[in-house]
Amino acid sequence: MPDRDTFTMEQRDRQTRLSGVIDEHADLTFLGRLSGPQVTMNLRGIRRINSYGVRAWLEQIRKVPAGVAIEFVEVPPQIVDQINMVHGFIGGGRISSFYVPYTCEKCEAYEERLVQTDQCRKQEDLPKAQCAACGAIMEVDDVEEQYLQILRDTEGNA
Amino acid sequence: MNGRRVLFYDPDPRVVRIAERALTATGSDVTLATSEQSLRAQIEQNGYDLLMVNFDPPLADKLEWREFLDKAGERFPKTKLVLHVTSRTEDYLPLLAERRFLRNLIAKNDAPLEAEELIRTSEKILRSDIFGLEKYLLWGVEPYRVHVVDSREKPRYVQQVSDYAARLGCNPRTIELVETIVDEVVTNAIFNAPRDPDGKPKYAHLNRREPVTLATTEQAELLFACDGGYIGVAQVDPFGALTQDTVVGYLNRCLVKGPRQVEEKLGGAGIGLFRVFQSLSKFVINIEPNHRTEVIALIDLRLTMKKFKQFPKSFHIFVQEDGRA
Repeated sequence: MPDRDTFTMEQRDRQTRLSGVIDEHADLTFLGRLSGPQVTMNLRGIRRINSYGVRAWLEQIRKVPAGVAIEFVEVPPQIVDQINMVHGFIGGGRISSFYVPYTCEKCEAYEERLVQTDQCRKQEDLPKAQCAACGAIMEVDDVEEQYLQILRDTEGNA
Repeated sequence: MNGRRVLFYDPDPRVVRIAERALTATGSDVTLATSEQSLRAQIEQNGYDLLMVNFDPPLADKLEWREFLDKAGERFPKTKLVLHVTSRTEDYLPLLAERRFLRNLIAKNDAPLEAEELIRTSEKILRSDIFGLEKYLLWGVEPYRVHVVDSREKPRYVQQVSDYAARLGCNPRTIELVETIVDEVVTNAIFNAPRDPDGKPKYAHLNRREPVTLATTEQAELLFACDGGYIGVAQVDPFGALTQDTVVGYLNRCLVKGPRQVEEKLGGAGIGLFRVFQSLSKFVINIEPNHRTEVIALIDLRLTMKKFKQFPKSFHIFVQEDGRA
């Protein structure tokens, strides 16, 4: 069984699920062999990506065959960071859902909640969250603009 | 430090009071400039070992001041300059690229300047005693030490620090920052730092998938520690090959989102330093040219992730030259 850092790709529930660390040992060549018309790629299991992994990802995302549309789902905050920092990170894909980190100022609880891109786009804001532990309204523990930027960047692809 | 002269300028009286106490306490002879005019007059008089200057607008917006500091850097090469700024990282890094005499920027956020940061920075420069993660942590904290020997062992090095951060109660995103820092500094220590006898990079051209085992004389050391406020990771290599131009050049290129961000040459992606920089609150690089480099990354654990990202980052390059920092 692979450890939590070993990069894996598996097909499950009609989704291509990626997990582990994207680094120099991650084999991303499957991106160039995707067949469409649509692929749903679940990124929830990606723990992090290092500098070599960023380059490898960019190289391979450019090789996704024309006519294959990638729908990214369950994008975790650490990948939202990459999308905001690195030019062309998701290629021509679109993001359907992503995790937003929330923290409770009252009891310091932390959790990440799944948010649908369409829902945010309609509200033009990130949803409010209530702390499961103490009931207080939680704060988004990140720069909200980064998440809203995703909505704007992927609007044309929706 | 006794007998050393320090000139401090900040328009905020609260900051001036903190600086006056902190710097005087070190034994230095401290002069306070309270206006741009008096700052200029004092610098013209020369005789200072260290200038600590607030470089926020309106000063930063004035071209004449940039030119004046440039000329002062040329006229008084033994006088060291430390700026403290509230500007965003994207704004101050180009400043460093243009001015090689400028190596130290203390980031100000919504809190007044930390006395500790002023004392630490000034004393490192004035005493020419620049190395050591311990200088950035409270007394009594003993860093853990790991020898960096083999590229195939990198996951184990990362895991050790990651486990430590988890034991400290860091949340998953902070742990990810710590892992990113360790991953990149270890890769740097194995592939980028080592030099051959001619001073040329020995392994930098290699694909990072290729296994590399460092010879005893090439091995680096990874240190990590926490004092409750900061978690610190340091990597020390025995080469001293890193330069200010390299560091600032890479960081500046990566700050601009575009097709030139990531290098496509063989070897590394050229964004390792940037990824470290994005993962920390304070970045310190200590260099003894051709002998030793120490890269220190400190994460402020008191900040939420939101504030961590919004606040500017302190950036220091200390170079030990002929016994002087």
